[in-house]
Amino acid sequence: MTQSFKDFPIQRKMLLLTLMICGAVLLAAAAAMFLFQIVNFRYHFQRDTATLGGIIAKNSTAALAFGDRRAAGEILSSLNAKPSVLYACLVTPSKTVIAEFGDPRKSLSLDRFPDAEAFRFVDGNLLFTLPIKLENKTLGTLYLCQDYHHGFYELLRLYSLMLIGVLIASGILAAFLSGRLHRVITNPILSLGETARRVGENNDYSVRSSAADRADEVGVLARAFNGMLSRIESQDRALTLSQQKLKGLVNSLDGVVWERDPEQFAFTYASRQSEHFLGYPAEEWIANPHFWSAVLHPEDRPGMMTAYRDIVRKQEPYSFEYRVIAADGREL
Amino acid sequence: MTALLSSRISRCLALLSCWLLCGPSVYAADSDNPVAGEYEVKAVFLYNFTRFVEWPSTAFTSSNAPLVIAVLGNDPFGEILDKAVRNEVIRNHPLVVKRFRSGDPVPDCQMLFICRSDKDRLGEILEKLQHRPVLTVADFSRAAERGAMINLVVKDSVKMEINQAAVAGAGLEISSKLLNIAREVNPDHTPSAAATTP
Repeated sequence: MTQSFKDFPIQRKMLLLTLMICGAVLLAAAAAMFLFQIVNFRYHFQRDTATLGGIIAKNSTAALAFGDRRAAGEILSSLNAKPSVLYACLVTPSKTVIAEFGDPRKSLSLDRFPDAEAFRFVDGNLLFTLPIKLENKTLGTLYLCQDYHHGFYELLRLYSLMLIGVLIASGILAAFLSGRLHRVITNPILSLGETARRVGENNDYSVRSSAADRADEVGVLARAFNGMLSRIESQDRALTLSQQKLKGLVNSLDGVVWERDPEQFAFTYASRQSEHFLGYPAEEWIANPHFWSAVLHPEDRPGMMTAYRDIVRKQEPYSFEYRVIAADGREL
Repeated sequence: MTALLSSRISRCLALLSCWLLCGPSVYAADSDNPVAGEYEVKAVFLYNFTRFVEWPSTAFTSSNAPLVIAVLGNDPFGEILDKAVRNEVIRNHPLVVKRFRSGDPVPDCQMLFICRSDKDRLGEILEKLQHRPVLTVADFSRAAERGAMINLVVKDSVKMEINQAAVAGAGLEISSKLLNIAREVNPDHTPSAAATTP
């Protein structure tokens, strides 16, 4: 059975609150960073591709101008150093491929590349077209295809792992720190609660909360609590004293003073003289809920029961005379 | 105007690539008239040299003086070369082709193409040119070893041999990109070549 949050102990509540706040703040910060990194990654990926393309283009001007396939192939083969490059080719203005790099099976139709110098994302790859110029004359075009998704997912994986790590570490740190720091708040409240529990369990009004010397709200509460305890203690003492006096008075009377439940007729109190009177101890008067009807003389019983119910309903003073059977069988 | 130029360059390059790609087959098919494919490519090469070689400012009389490509001897290009460089301007210098007969005095130019007809006069021509900023180009065997700066050789396609010492001696600068696609050749008379000779 799960406990609802409001029933949790204060310490756990504060820990949960701290963790929730920390988690929310961290998540918000991480989300912002994440977004920034994604945009940044895309931007840098394009810039890297442009740089790479620029270098290849610069180096291949002579190869293109002199139609040197071997040199062009060698220049493109330097792309081996960059595993994310899937395909590249150098094409003359007449659309003849002079050199190729990469797996021809992965090669894309050149129609899918942008026409002018531009980037295009197709099927998770970045396609880049770069016209190669020398002194404002186009010598040919470089087509470059880089695997964007692989790098992107790698970044996502790295960031997710990092985020989980940071969340766990900060959770542990927050739990440790809040455990330490929350004691300042929770300990006085817990001690106040403990004092209240002792008062409740033992009816001991002499205990006092030790949190009363604090200047904060808990101190105010503890002082009010201690003041209340003092008043209850003195009133309790006075009450006990007056009860003892009353008991002595009642027990010294030559007669039985009793108290009864008006509905059930069960005795809730009977003075000490009750034992002398019928021979039953006061405890038995109280213990047996049908004590009164049991001791009534059988002839008076139905009349008395009816008369009594009337009296209770009318709530008037009364005086009845009836017969009862004592413990030793005497009729009184 | 630019569009026109570009399209013409593109045509040249297309032709060049076509010849290079189809290579020997086209050449073989045209073997009755070997000039057709081979010199088309060589003409484009000459034009391209102007883009990958830097001349010192002293090579020109003014900042917009023409860049003269001189053909010495029996011209194998015909109008192909004129077409390849027509209306082209390199670093503010318009390209101009001039032709000279064998035996003519060594002309004032920035690039000199020495034809096969003047093969035997190579040493004499180079001697007259010594230290002048003129890019010497030839297309016969061992021309680079004998002191020409660039030699165009036909193997399965047109290749370049560059005599870097001769280029540096004349105060010219060849782009490393061009050097990357060429074969470097040591001239016969260099100390290193002499040292290896027993």
